[in-house]
Amino acid sequence: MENLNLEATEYTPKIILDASKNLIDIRGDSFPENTFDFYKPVTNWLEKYFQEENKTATINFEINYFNSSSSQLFFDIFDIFDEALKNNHKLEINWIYKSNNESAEEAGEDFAEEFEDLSINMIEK
Amino acid sequence: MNKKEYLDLKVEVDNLVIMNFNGIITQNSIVDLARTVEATLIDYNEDETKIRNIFEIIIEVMRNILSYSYDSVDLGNNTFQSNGHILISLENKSSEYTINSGNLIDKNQKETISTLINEVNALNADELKELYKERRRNRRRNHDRGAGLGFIDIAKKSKKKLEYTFSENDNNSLMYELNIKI
Repeated sequence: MENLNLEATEYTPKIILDASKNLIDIRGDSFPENTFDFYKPVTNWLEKYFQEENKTATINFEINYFNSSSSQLFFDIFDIFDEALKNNHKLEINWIYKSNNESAEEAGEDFAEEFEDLSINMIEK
Repeated sequence: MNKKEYLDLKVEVDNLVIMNFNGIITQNSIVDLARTVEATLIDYNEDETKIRNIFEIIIEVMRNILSYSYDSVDLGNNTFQSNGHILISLENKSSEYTINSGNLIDKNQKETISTLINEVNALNADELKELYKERRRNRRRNHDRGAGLGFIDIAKKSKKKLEYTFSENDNNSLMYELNIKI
């Protein structure tokens, strides 16, 4: 399956979806004009990736500034991971945040609470 | 210095205008404006958490204007532009920031906006956090325009009651102003 790499822009994060390395990596700011349109290829890729069996994926999120509709989309992405876990894929999920970024830390904690089974690692940088 | 000169000077010193924008809002102008305010606040040695919160509030507020303003124009490819104003000021160096924004809305939207703001104004910090999570959970994989999280997010960051006014514009539209303290 093809990789999906998107370079960061002023308002969208750098995204690496690498099937050969089993790496899902999203880093940067996220406040696209059309959040759903922007993330559609990402959610499509993830859904396709987890259609294969027994994946072992490393997932890194390092988000700086983000808006509320991005938070909705991150929730949907975690929802895909949650489903993947139920289908016996193995996931290591890292939520990385800078020590002074309370809103990113709180967002990570909220996702960890919402998706307890995912065992999200909170990593302070 | 006579009293009048002293007063004028005081007004200038005590009313720091961080940003005063009145014009056409697009995705690019939102980003430029938020980055300019961020740079100004870094120069003021403002607390980093506060800078982040102000940055993210500006994005939410201006995105709302872009998406819901009465005069919003669809430029194609799901991109919009609309008219609006935003004034970010500080009464004095030790006070809170005021983020005042204004745009035209369709008269029919008045009730929807008042209801959303009154709803968040009635909640404390813990209740806002819960409402945010609950609404996000209920809207999973549902992508109507706007997730209904914007005002909750603004209220969480502001920690103050949101103030708003509507004033007459013409038969179909109203001027809506939102005042956020942080």
